Amino acid sequence: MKKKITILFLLLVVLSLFFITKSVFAEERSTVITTKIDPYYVVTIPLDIKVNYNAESTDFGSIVLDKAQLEPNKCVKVTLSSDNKLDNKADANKTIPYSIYKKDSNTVFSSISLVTPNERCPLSIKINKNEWNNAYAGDYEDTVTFHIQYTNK
Amino acid sequence: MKKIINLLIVLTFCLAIIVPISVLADTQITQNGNNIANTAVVFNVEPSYTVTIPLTVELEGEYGKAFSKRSAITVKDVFLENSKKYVNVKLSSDFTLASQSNPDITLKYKVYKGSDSSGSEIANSNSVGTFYTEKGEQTQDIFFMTTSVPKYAGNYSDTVVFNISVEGDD
Repeated sequence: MKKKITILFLLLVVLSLFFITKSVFAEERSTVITTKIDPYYVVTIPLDIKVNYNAESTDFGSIVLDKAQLEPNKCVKVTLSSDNKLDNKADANKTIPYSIYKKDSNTVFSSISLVTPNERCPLSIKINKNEWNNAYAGDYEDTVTFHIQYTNK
Repeated sequence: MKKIINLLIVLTFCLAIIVPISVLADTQITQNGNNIANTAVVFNVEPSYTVTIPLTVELEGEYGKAFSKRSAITVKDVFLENSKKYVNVKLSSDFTLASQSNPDITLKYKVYKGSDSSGSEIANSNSVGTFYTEKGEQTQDIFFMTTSVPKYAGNYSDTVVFNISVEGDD
């Protein structure tokens, strides 16, 4: 019995000494390392383009995601708005209908979601033979607007 | 049995209180004596030091480049038992920043001694700096830098633990 008490006492002393030593000579502190990387992207859209008379398909350049540092679940969405009519400069009522196509898939372009740097979407302008045949003489022009949006995939 | 254990614990505390008080009894000098007495001067100064580590470190950068930040550990008024003792500040980290929105997206970084990446790299559990007894401030610059150009935008974070201990020979 005495032995047990002595051992317990010694154990207590040793333990208390250990904790005292530990608290004096070792400490831990933490530092939080953070970084905030803002989304960054550069999109190139096609320049002005001249459509030659009677050309049923004309290259319209490409939409290109030149540089991109996006959040994992995000993308850069490019949409296009246009009335799809070339207007006669002398008389806006005289028009030539056209469509903008995705060159790769040969489908009408409505939007594209880009994620990877250098990802591109080549476009073309298509005007039917009939529309050329029915068109009045003169200069025509139209403006298409590209909307660029940073959004969820 | 319980009573005996409780008594022992109380006794231990009592002893701990009594020991510092009963250092030395006063010596009385009388005319009959040789008028010489010895006084033991006990001078006990606890080791002390103040270590300041940064609470947060925010890495900064721009597109197409690694992100980085310079920081520092400051140790003030190191006062230890002898010239061989020193305060050792060690660093513990997995060196991986995790995206707060998606922990699977990570960004590795390294820590260097000094103000840029030309200093020696500090590996996990290695010393950032050792600080010997000296009045005033001692500073160790540290430099954090991602190992690559970040691929994804977002908020990233990690925790670095600094272990501070007194080491060296007695």
